[in-house]
Order: sequence, then structure tokens, then C-alpha cells
Amino acid sequence: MPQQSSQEHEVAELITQSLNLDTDPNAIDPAQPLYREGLGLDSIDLLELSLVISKKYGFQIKSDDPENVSVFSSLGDLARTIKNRRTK
Amino acid sequence: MKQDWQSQTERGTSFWLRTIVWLALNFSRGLARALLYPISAFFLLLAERPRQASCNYLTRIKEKPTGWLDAFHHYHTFAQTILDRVFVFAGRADFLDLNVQGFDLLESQMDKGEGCLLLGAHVGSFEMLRGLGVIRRHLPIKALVNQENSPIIRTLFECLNPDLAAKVINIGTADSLVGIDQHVGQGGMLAILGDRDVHGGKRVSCDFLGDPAYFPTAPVLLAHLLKVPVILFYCLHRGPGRYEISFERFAERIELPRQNRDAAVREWIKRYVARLEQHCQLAPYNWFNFYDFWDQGD
Repeated sequence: MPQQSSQEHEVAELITQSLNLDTDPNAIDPAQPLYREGLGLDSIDLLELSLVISKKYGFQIKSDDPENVSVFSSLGDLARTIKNRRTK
Repeated sequence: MKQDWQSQTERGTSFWLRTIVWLALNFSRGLARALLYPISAFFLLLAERPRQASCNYLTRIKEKPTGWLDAFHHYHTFAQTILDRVFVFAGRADFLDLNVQGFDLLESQMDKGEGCLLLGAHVGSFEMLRGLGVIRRHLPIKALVNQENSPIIRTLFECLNPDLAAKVINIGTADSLVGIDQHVGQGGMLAILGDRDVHGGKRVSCDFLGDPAYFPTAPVLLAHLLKVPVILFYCLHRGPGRYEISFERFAERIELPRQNRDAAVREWIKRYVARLEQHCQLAPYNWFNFYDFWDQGD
């Protein structure tokens, strides 16, 4: 099992629950890409994930945000973004 | 195999397209229209697989064997819509004879300030309708497209109208849809075509004109996530410069259950495909998928 921080584990559980994935959240490598090869998510999954995140953590991921690609590049990056930008 | 339409090289397209656009915009529409005959014949003779795909589709829809003449008519219809689109994008399409049904649906969405999903198909000219909607009616439309397809045609239309090109979202990147909820939440419209199975995307098999074919689930999933009405649209070519444009309510909302979601998605796709078949029967030569649509491979 890859090493996850507690924040990463929380986000991994959020991903598998909200997207109804069969993947074990503990098995998601924080450095593995979320999109396509990697966890296998597509752009609609990432839209769904962004909606869940804005609802749960109280910040919006905007379309013109230049950091979007890195926000969703891996579990580790996503967890870091949430930690930095969450309002609740 | 499913990548056929993506990977088919656009042989000769660049040369022909540039020539005809130049002639059309600098000389006359009549001259450009006359040239569509040899150009359609050129493409018909050039590539076998699109021609076979055309005959295969036409045989299904007409329920009788079809040959070169039918395929030529099919190609020529497509060519005419491309040329008309040039005039639309250049803002010089006063000659168009448009019969519009159901536009009040869009107006009422605009009045309410509520966004919606516009769902179409590669039947008739989606891009022409988008051009007309944005240029003439100032509709807040963003279009989701797969830009791996037709780079030459895309570049040309980008040059003709950069504003319209800027309102296109390429589906093929991780963050392409992130933030689209904000566009729709502000009353924006999102246009998507529901017939082409994009390589690697989620899809379901559904009977279409007698045999199963794959359809993308993206439109249904998007409607569910964005919680907006879904309006079907078609822009059918009905003769030289004549188009029949229609909008119809498909769903007030699409709500998918957490359990058995796939079955619910399939039901919505079946409804979409039923309407698609009806529009194909209404205007058979408007089907612009020139590849083996029923291919069951990857």
C-alpha cells in the first residue's frame, strides 16, 4: 500500500465514494495521475469531483484558473490544493 | 476502428477548402456552389471507406440497396453545409432561408436566466446553427467538441471567426469541463453532440437503424451533474441555402439514481436515439458520420 497522509486519505475516500469507484481508497498512490491512465478518471468524473469538492470544502475551482491542470494531476496535488484553499 | 473518423487524413481538403472559400468570399456563391459538384465527386472517388460507410447508412435508412448516385448526393449535401457555414462564420449569410421551430424554448431559458444543455447530433449542420445563434441572437453558447477531429477544417473556421472559435471547449483534457457549472449557473448554454462515440470515453450500446451501435454517455451524465433542462436541436439542410432548425424539450431534468445508474443512463440514451432515428428518416442525407458507425470494436 502506498503511503498516504491523513489529508490524502480523506480525499481518496471522497473520490471513491462520490464517483462510486470499486477502487480501495488506501490503494491510491498520491503521486499517480487521476486522469486517464492512472486512476482512469475522465473529464466528466473530474467535473463531478470539482462539484463535490466545492460543496464540501467551500471553494470553487474556476475554468480560467491556470492551476487547474495541476490541481487534478494527482491525489497528492488535489489534497494540497484543498488544504490551502478550503473555507470549511 | 472507432478512431477512423479521427485519423482519416483529410486528403486534399486543405487545398480545396482554401480555394473554394477564397472564391466564395471574393467572387460569388454561385461559382463556389458549382465547384461543389467536382469536389464532391473527387472525395467520392478518392476514399473507399467513407463511401462504403455512406452506402451502408443509406441502405439502412432507405431500406433498399444504394449506389454511387446516392453516395454522391450524400457527399454533396455535406459539402453544401460546409460552404453555407463559411458564409455564416464570415457574417455574410443573408441569403439563408431558415424555418425555425421551437426557438421560444431558448428564449424562455434566457428570460429565466437559467442555463441549459443543447443536445444535437452530426445530423445537419451543428456549427452553422451555433454560428447563427451566437452571431445573430447573441446566445451564450459554449460548445463541447472533440478537436482531434478535422484539424484542417477547424483551423480554417478559426481564421474566419476567432470569436466563435473561442467559444469551443475541447473535451480531451483533464480540466476541460471544470468550471463549466459556473457558465451554466450564470444562464449559459452548453452545446454537445450525442452521437459520436469518442475514443476512450464512456459509452453504451443501443439499437440504431436495426443494429447496435455505441453512443457516448457524456451528454446524460453532464445533464445530471449540471441539473439543467436538456433541449434537443437539429439544423437540417433542406435544399440550396434552406434549413429547418428545430428545438424541442428532451428533459426538464435528468436525475440519475446512485444505484442502477447504468440502466437509467441507458434509458435516456434510448430516448435520444429514438429521436435521432426520426430526424435521420426526416432528412436522410443529413447524416454526417462518414465512418462505420456500427463498428463494435474498440
